[in-house]
Amino acid sequence: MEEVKNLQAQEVAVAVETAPEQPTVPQKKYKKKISPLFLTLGIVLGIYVITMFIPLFWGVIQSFKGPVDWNGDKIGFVGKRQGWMWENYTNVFKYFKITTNQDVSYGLPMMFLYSVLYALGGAVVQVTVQFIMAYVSARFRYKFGTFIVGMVIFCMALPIVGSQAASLSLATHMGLKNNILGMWLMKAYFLGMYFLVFHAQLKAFPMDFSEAASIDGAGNFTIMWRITFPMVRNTYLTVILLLFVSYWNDYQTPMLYLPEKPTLALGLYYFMHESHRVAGGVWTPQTPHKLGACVVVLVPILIVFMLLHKKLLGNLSMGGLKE
Amino acid sequence: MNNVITHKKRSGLRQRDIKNWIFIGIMSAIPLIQFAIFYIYVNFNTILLSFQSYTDSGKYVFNQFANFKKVWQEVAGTGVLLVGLKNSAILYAVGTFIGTPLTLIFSYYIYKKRPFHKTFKIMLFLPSIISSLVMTLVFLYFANYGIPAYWEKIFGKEIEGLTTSLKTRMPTILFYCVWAGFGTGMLMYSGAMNNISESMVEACHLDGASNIQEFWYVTMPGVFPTLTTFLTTSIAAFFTADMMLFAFYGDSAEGFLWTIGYYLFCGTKKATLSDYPYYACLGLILTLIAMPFTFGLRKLLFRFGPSTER
Repeated sequence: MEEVKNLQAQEVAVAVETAPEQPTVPQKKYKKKISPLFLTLGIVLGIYVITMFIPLFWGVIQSFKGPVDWNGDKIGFVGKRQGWMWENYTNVFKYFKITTNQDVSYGLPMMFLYSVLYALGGAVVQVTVQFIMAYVSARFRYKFGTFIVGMVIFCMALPIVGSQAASLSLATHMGLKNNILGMWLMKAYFLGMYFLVFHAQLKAFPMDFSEAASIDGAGNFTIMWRITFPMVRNTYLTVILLLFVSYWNDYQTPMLYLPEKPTLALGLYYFMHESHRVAGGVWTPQTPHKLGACVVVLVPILIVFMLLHKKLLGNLSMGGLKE
Repeated sequence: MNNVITHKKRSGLRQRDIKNWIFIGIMSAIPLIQFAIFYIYVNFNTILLSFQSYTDSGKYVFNQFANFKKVWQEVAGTGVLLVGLKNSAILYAVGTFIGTPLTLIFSYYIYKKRPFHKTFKIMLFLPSIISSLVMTLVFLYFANYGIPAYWEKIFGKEIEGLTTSLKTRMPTILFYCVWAGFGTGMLMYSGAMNNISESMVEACHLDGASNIQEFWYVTMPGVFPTLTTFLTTSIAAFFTADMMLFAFYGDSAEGFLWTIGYYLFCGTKKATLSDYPYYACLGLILTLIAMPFTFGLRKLLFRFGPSTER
């Protein structure tokens, strides 16, 4: 516990906030001269954007190439001999399948469903648990709250490596493996940065509203959901979004814990790294097919990003000033 | 009269306390049970498993230090772990000494709202949104097919794919890790920079400080707690980062590329019940190595790092 106290004293608790509730001090507009530093940085960042854009654009174009065009020219535009090969995408949809150890075959729609259940369910469960724990430790003046915050900071600082084997063994014994509900249960932990996000915000809100509601006869549950929750709703949704994207793209956890309930990301992994059994032999995807599969998985999340990038890129910060 | 009021107040407070504690108990019961099982028990079980082995009768029995000996044999014998250690160290050094400074100065550019800062922010964060698998594979094919084809077209000379050539494989993968790894750090650092007091920045400019001086004397102390958090948690990542090898090559990456994180993940993925004790033991050893480094680095950074007071 001594370590916890030190951490708390040194870090003055990790103060984390998101923009919607706590607007930052507006930047005063100085006369922006073109300094060599910013000119160089601007050029470097410009080059970075180009290097980011070129491979993605190249990937999309090559995904439409037929084998003859692809083998003849790896950088040219499509259409010289075979034209736009929409067939590549038909094949992607046809062979984007996983046959599990129990000989059950899952196609794109089922993998999509499992992805939604895993990503959305996991994100909602985890954020809700973190909000609730942050609420009970920030809004009640008991030592319980200090203890919980100290424990979270301590656990975050503790560099635990390789508990995966024990965790997997436990999940297998408890019947949580290959079980979406089991995954939600495993995601229902309150440790982590977002607990501190909620804690910092809830601690900062004055108690007046809660006390007034309490005098009017509202119970603790009503105060939590109807008075306090609306004040952190934006943060709640932003964090859900961030976690949703992270779980949607995660293929390593489903590989270990959900091999019989494959998600889209796991499906992509197997599509890339394995051949596919088909009637009369084996079908091995070629590079344009693999790039096509990447585009198929990329599009939904890119749409989400385009629509919600302002929320995702809000002013998320961690750490107070050193005393 | 006063006594009656005080007594009523006290009993009211007690009742409220009881109600509060019931509420806290109900609300935190499931998270605390989950924590007890999936954090405390799992980590305790890791320690237990490290001293156990799996028998033919399907039970774990204590075997003293047999797993530790096995880890040592693996270190001394095959050399896989030593290669992993070396590559993990290279990855850590590249991330810390190249990736982190670049993230900091890019964040500074975005914080100062220079031209196209919004576009740069989106593009820097994009790799964190796109599946690492998609990003890695597109990069892999571009490095192996796209770049050699462009090279030939521009310079008229044939070159090998960047990750097919043994010479360029490792540097290309390291470059990718830095190139695609700005997202979260950039978001956190630019967020922390936004919280720096405007009056401090103003005072600094009135004193005639240049942008570099402002960055070093005002911005860096302002983001230092965030930087400290990133640097200390990255020590655990030293042993868990797989250098994206799993996305690049699945579980068939060549031995000379392996990192400790890749070794641990591939091993756990393929492990049967009898293999769990070995990986638990390796994890325990690595945790014991990482722990003093983490807390030591934290203390050093707080003692010798920049402060807003200096």
